[in-house]
Amino acid sequence: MKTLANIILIISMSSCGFLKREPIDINLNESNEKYVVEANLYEGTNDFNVILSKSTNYFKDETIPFVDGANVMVTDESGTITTLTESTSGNYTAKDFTAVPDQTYDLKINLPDGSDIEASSHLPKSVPILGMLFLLEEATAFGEEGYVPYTAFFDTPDEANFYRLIITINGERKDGFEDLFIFDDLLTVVGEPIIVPIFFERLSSGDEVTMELFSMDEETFYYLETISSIIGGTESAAPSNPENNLTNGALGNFSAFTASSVTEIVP
Amino acid sequence: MKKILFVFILILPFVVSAQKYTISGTMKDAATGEDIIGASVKVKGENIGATANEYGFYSLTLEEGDYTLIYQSFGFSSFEKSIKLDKNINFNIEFKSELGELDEVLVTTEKDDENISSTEMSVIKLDPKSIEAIPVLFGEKDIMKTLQLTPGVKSAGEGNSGFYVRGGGADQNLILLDEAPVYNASHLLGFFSVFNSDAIKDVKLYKGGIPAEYGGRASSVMDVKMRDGNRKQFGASGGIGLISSRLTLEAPIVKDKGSFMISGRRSYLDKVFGTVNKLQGKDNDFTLYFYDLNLKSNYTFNENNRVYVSGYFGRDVLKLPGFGFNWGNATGTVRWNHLFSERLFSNTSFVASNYDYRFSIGDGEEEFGNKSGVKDYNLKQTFDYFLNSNNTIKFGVNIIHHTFNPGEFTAGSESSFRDQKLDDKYAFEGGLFIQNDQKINDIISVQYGLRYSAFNYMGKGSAYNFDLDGVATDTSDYKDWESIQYYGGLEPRFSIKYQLSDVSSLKGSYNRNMQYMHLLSNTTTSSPTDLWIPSSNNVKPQIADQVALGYFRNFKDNLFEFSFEIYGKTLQNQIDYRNGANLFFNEQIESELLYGKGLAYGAEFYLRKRKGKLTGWISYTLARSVRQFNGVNNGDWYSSRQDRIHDIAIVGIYKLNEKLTASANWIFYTGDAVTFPTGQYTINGTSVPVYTERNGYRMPNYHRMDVGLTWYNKKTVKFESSWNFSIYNVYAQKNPYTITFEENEETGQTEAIQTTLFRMIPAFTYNFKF
Repeated sequence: MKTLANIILIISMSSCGFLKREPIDINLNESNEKYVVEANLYEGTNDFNVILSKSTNYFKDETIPFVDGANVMVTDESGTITTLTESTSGNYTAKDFTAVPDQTYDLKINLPDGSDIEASSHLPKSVPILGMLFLLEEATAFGEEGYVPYTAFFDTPDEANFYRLIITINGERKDGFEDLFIFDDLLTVVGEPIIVPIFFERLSSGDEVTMELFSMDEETFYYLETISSIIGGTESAAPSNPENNLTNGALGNFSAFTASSVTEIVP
Repeated sequence: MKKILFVFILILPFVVSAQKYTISGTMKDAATGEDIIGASVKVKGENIGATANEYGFYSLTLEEGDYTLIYQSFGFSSFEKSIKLDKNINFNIEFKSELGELDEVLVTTEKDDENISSTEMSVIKLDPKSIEAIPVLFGEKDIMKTLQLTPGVKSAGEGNSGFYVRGGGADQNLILLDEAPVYNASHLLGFFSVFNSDAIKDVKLYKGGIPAEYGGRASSVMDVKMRDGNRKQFGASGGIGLISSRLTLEAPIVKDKGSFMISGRRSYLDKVFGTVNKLQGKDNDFTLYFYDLNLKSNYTFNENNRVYVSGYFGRDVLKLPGFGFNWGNATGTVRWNHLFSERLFSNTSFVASNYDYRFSIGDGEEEFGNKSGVKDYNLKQTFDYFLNSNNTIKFGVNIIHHTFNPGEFTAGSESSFRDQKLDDKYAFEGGLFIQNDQKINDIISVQYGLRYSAFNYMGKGSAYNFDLDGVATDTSDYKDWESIQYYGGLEPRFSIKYQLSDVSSLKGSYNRNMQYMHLLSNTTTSSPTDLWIPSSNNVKPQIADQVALGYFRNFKDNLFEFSFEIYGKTLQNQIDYRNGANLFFNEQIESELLYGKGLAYGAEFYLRKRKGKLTGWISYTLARSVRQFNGVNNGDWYSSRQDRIHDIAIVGIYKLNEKLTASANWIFYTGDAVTFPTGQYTINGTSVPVYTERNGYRMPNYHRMDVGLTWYNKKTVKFESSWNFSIYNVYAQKNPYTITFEENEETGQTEAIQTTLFRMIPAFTYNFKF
């Protein structure tokens, strides 16, 4: 809710030209390199990709230092080990890997320097998206007049659920952290469908909209929440690295998601 | 309790004495009938006297005999009276102002050398009149911003009325308005304070040597007293400014018996912005304003009984289509002064205080919103016992009931979310204190006191226990009024003055303060949604211990005032947050907290010229403030946000002639300690910063100059008016408000972006009084 404070600040200050933003030069310390793991596992049969790289200095203008020659394995609950192969530099893939809901997956990476990074992520029960509807809204603080998309689904009862929605409008998939839309089921009514309005989207008739619903475990949820809070200029008085499920001080996360989607045209 | 007995034993020897009588009464301003706080009476030719308390009451007990008494108050003509003291005498005096000789710009109610002779140290007193000419942002005179120009008090940020005292946090300041605690003392994210200077009589900030009567916050006490209202005649005053206007009305209820004062202020910032937007052809569809209303009334029933009723109501309102947000304080105080005898003065206060915020998103049936706040009821009984001319004893008791509403979520009927309320939390906070101001001889005087404070966190509610990772291990349920956790502790307070000469003194003080309520805020700016929480089974009370030493010296017949103070302070049970802490609508919010310790120390220099054409001061503070938390910064000590090494303020006010007064101030301070990234990595095609050290970097140093000009265009006995012009940050220094690290959307390069707020802000205000 810290953004509330900034809404007021930005509106009041920028409308009068008080607020000025400009790039400045700042000397930052050299940092120690850290390993970075980007591993997203999706429900169903897909290619499972793990990207392995290292962090760099903040202002260093260099290409991403990918890590080659690691040994990357994923293990399911039955103990079946699948080894990922390095397709391009730092990019390890298990082709047509099948991820089953309500199972925990373990990721193990043997690094070329001899150390290991481990993580495990729980793929929750599947939550199918029911559909979408569009309601015409007047102009508000969140957008011009237009159709606001709503989506609906049944929450899995008796367990805490953590969700992410990604919307695609006319082929443009809003999957960046700046459009991150995550929520939990803390305040929802058990047994009734959850209806979620996407307040900040205003659509026109004829727009093609795809809504993807992802469900994840709590650790992955907090990882997404904390990483989005430090991207694009944080207001936190004490910014810190995101919480994640990786060992060995590695950055990134091993995230398992259930996924379902619907596509509709705005009437 | 043994220590309290010891204090009594110390006092007892003084009670045994020859035949003595008391002269007592009230000291008031002849023009308005307002009580004068801190006016004094002295026996001519001797170093014996008494000082009026905060209600203008004085009492002086002397041996039978003939005396000449001198009544004094700074800014007023002194007054001599011969008495034959062979019985108790009641004598009320009204001071006439030194018209003509009086320097309008720096009027304070203190005596010329009080800074030297009083036992108090580490205290700043402000009279709202004294700040009229000092240039301020948007021309809104503000006592909290003026306090920031004095040593040991630091601004919480650009244009911000929040402040840090001697390395403590903004929530460690006890801010009292007519004894009522003000939980959020700022408007519009801190750019304006809630104190409307027109309604304020007196402000006193204790940075150290805090008297035992005050408790509940670790770092400082800011005691603000509202004006009582004119007891002689009807009066009105007000001002019209760029962003707000003010009006104050005051009148006697029955002449010399009672009076009332009503003072209002409302901003119209949104209208100003709206006009600017319209001129630029942009839409304008938002409402943003704040208002304050101060009310006070008092009535003297007879010589022994007087009642005061005062209230404050203030609110900020923001409305946008589909979005609403408002927050504010309300306080009310009823006080009864009663004289049991010429020497025993009693005050009973009942205080209610409420702070809350609420916001809503969406409209009608789809609307959802949240509200949260804190509510207090407070009963305070104090006695001033004027034992003799060398001892003034104050003792009393204070009990507060707190109700915390951590969050109340409401959802519209068409929404799929359900209404939910986090359980209210309840607590009793109590204090029992005794203190004595004792003059041992002409050279040494002391003030010593002891406060026992207690806090009972109680049901109805659930209490959680957490493991080291913040995961709840078990829950216990408690019934109504059932104690969940009790804390209590002794808070010794001690100050000593050693007079070196007529113009110089040495002072020392020690105080322990305990704080049972804590403000959770993890943003850089103060936000109305910051949350107050009670001490509990998980959150221990904050404890501050401070030692201060000072050298005080006046020059040229009190024309110049100089002080040098050093202090050291330890802080226990400080609060920080786990990485990624969620402080909003969280049932188990205590699981997000970390506990550590702090250390602050520094030196303060202050040189002030008090009279003449040129008045003003130079203030310099050299200080450090560091913290240590297991789980933050690898457990190493790090600079706190309040760690500002150098802080300089120069204030100058020059009276050109009867009609024109020019003023300027210059401020410099070391940039705040901040956390900047040391590296970056790429996830999902986006650059993510890597953080290592907490507060390991510094913002660029801050400096700016403001100038002002006040033109008194009309001044008669009946009507006064003036224009005030000011420019904030006159040389347009680009002081960073924030520095953020972002990826440039076009080039994909990471860069540091500085946000600057105020560069050269002109303002004007028209003030009147009749």
